[in-house]
Parts: sequence; structure tokens; C-alpha cells
Amino acid sequence: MILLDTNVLVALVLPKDRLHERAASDLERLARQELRVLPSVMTEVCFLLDERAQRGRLSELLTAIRAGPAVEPPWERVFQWLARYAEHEPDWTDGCLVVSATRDQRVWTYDHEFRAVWRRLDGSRVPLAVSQR
Amino acid sequence: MKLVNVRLSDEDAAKVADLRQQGVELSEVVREAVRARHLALRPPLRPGDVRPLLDAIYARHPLEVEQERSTVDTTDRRAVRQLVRKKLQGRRSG
Repeated sequence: MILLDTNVLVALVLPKDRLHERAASDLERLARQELRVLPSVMTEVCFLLDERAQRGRLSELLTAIRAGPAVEPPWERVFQWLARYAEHEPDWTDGCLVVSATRDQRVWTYDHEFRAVWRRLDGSRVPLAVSQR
Repeated sequence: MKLVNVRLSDEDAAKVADLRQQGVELSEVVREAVRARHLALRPPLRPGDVRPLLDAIYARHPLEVEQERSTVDTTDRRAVRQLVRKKLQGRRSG
């Protein structure tokens, strides 16, 4: 299972986004995987894509790639993680993605902090679905 | 909206009663289950389908020029946060 981050969905909806080519290529590779979106990611995406046509694209895209909703992790663990990284000012969405990440539930993101900075609550690296450049 | 009747065993009916007692809306449980099963019915996307699929979606939902790019760097958490905050403030003052 793969958890999609905000930057991936925006890049797939907007072909002129600087991450679009990368996201489209990665989708070709990950097309057969089970894709999931956390509620907090969807909220962010809808703030960024607030036009009717953008949301029309988003809705069709999610259906086409068979992306379903992911279950938000326990809030207590997310708050624990946010407190650990407070100096980096992470957002709720970052916390949800990191806390939800497991070997069987990898994160698809282009945010370098998931590789360089964030660690899971047990101190291990965040399992990622794509390599970061 | 269509109404669907479902027959339940005594065991499942007891579970439904427990769910209701916990404030769970049964109709939402059924809708979620239907959506999940329906998703599973569709054949998985093949790599070669991706580009034509995206192009077809873009063609069905054309954007104005100014809508074609995100107004912020989506990998910059602070920029995204600022945009969300600005929109929320606009909503509250509007």
C-alpha cells in the first residue's frame, strides 16, 4: 500500500507543475499498487486546488488510479511525533504520514525532509515509495 | 437515493446493535464497504495507460492559464501553511 502526499496529487493534476513529469513517471511504475490518501492530505490538496476544474481533475484522477481513503493514525502518536520534531515546525499532515508509514505502507512524497530529517517514532527511516533527487 | 435492504444473521444484527450504541451510522458503514468492494472490482491501471489517462482527464477539465500551476512550492511546508492560513482568514473575514 502506498500513501500519497499532497505534492504528488497536485503534480498529477497540474501538468505544468515542476514535479509533474516525475509524478507521472512514478505513477507508471506504481500504477498497480494499492494507493491511499489520508484525510489531512486531501484537505491540503483541496486548499491548493480550489478551482472547480482542478477538483474535477482530482476527482477523476483518484477514481482512475483507484485511490481510496486511508485511515488517520491515532492522534496521540501524531502529537507525540510533532512534539519530537517541534523545532522543524512539521505540520499535522507530515505527522500523519510518518506515523502511518510502515514497510507495507510506504509514503510517496517529493518532500526531502521525509528522507533527510523525519524518522518514525521508533527512530527508523520513513519507508518511501520513490527515490528522491 | 436508493434504499437497500440487507438480511442479517442474529450474530451480525448484534454487532450492528453494538455499532449503533457506539454512535456509528450503519448507512455510512455500508456505503464505505460498497465503495471499497467496487474499487476492487476494477482492473488495475497498467503503466501504459497512465499518460493517455491523464491527458483524457486534462482534456475533460480544461483550466484557465493561471490555474495551471500551483501558486506555491508544494514541497515547501511553510509556503503551503501560509496559503492555507490566508485562505482560512479570507473565509472568516468574508
